[in-house]
Amino acid sequence: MKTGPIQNDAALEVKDLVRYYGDVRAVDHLSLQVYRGEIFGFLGPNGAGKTTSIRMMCGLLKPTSGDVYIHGKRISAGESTEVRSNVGICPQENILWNKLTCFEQLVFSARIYNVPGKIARQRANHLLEKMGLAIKRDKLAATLSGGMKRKMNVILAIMHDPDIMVFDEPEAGLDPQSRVLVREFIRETALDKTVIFTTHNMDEADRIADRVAIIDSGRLLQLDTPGNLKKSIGEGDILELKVGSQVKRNLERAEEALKNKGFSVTVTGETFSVRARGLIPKIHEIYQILEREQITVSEMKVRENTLEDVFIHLTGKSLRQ
Amino acid sequence: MRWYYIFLKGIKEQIRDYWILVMIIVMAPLFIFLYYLMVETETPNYDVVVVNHDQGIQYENFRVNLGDSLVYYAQLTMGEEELSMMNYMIEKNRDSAIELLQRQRADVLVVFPENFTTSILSPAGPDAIQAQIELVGDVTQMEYIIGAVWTEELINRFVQKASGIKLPISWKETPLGFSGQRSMFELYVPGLLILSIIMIIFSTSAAIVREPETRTLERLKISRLTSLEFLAGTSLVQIIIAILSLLLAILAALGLGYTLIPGTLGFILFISFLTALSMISFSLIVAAMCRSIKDVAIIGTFPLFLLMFFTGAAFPIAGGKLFTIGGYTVMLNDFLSPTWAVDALNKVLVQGQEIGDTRPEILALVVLTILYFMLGSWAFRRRHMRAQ
Ligand SMILES: Nc1ncnc2c1ncn2[C@@H]1O[C@H](COP(=O)(O)OP(=O)(O)O)[C@@H](O)[C@H]1O
Ligand SMILES: [Mg+2]
Repeated sequence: MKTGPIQNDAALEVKDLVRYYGDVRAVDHLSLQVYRGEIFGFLGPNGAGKTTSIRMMCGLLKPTSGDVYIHGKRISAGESTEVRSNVGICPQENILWNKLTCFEQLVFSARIYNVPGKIARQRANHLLEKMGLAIKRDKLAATLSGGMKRKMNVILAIMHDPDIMVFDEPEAGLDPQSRVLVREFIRETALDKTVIFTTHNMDEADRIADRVAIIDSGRLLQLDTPGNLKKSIGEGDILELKVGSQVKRNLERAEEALKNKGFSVTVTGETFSVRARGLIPKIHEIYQILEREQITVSEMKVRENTLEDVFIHLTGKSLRQ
Repeated sequence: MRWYYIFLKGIKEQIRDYWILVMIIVMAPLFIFLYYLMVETETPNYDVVVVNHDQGIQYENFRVNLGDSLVYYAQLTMGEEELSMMNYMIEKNRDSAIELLQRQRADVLVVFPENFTTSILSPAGPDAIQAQIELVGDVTQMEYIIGAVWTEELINRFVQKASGIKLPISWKETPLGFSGQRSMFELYVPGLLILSIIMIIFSTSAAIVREPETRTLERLKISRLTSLEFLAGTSLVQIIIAILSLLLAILAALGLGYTLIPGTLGFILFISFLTALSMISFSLIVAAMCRSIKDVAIIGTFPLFLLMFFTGAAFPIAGGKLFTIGGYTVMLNDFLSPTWAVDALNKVLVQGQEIGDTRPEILALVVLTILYFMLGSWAFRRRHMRAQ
């Protein structure tokens, strides 16, 4: 059974982490704690600074300023192998030894962490089986498809059984079926481990993370459980209305009118999102307001709050932009 | 034991990247074959063509023609050890003899004048008639120079005998070590053996650069592997390639008639091992300048040529005077470790010196290797190992 996050027992902590690339500030005074045993998600659009942050956490990148602590010990880039071997990383880009077979590189990457040969071989076979890669066991990595390479990268991260596993966009480039497979796999291996992952997919973050850090432009905007984050922008359901291209003044008037009736409204592009408790009986009323302003609705959907809404609420823009 | 996994991985990758491996291992034997075709493989030989215009003189009932006698005398001396590399032949006239020179059938042409006999037999003294003997040949050719020197010496000896005049000096030549018995081909072989080691610069640099190129170095960096373990495992693979390529080169040489002096194989292996370490260290410098294997193929050629041609590996050279310090002239090639390896092998394999006599060369080789290693690992760490 999963023990769940143990608060006040930080597996990893970053303090005031800053990283510049030339003039570009990729990470901006990031401070947070990842608790032992939790699944921690970094959610943010492309370029938010997720990769930069976790590469600094693994000691692959030097912070411009700030510190990273693993199990309470400060790591400076390149030092303290003892501490570093507690971390396993699945980088954003697939990194494989092209001239080694799947099995060979799994065993190799365990051996350079001092994992005994027998255990390494068993684990390699087990993980290949689990990821549906058993038939590719003795094929050179160069011959794998993109999805297979991604899966290899996921299992390479945990061959040495680290306490902290870091996955940078683990689901990127996977078909829906493999996505579920990898998601399940991460959840399972996280039973007694700390997992950090990044994603720009709110669904992924929502489904597996115990806590989510929402970041944009290198800054931490919000950090909480998915449930709390969703609650933070208001209770209730959301009515999403696609209105197509309309007269701009009409849209503004409709928004005004809805707000006057006590609805919480966000407009992104051509979508009206109207939030309220007990929304369903009020749909008729909303429709009437829109009709009065000569707005025709092309599509309508009622749904619960998502992390996407949280992100839009925080930044005024969509994750997918 | 972590270096051992790097070693195993390196062996697999090297074998699977066989085109680099083949290129490296085959290069030195190929050079050996090339040199075999290019240079004379027998002991040096100098062909002298003689044109005798000597009129001779009538003495009582028979003609005396000292020109003919000289040719006869020369052909006799060809049996003597000292002059065994000389080969004399006669040609009727100067033009056809020159044609022989031009077709490289002969190295030296010597023409005796009409008054050859007359002048030798006339009394010596300040007013004596001098016969002018003509030497013809390509003066830029080593074969001409040596052939001409020995022809002059032969003529001197003959004239002294025939005229009864004795010069107060005489000459004796002592070949250094085995040099007299070694063919041109055999003189090139020690350098080419070192060339087989120099070639591993390519495979070593490629093996090292492969990791940062595919970013797999990141995986190694965050593992428990140390840089030293990485270098040890990688080097061992390359040393094996070097020794393999050396043995193949030796076999190729033996197959083409090279004779290995008994008891020197161990010495050759030892020097080659040191050279291999040196070249591996050098490869670190190359690897620090490269981002990809493609870079290695381009950038790596420059040091390869430098090491091939300035160290005496490809052919004997006294290369590139830099400056003089305390009476010792410092040369460019003094800083290239294969120079010392080639010198050491030449001392033993060509000049027949004792293995113990190569201590200075071995010392220089070791010192340069350490220097390369320090420079190389500093540059490599700086370029590839630092967290950015
Ligand atoms: N090596 C680099 N050189 C220069 N800028 C970089 C580099 N890596 C990332 N950046 C910049 O830093 C910012 C954050 O990038 P990144 O951490 O990769 O974001 P994410 O992983 O969230 O997509 C972006 O603006 C990106 O352009
Ligand atoms: Mg990223």
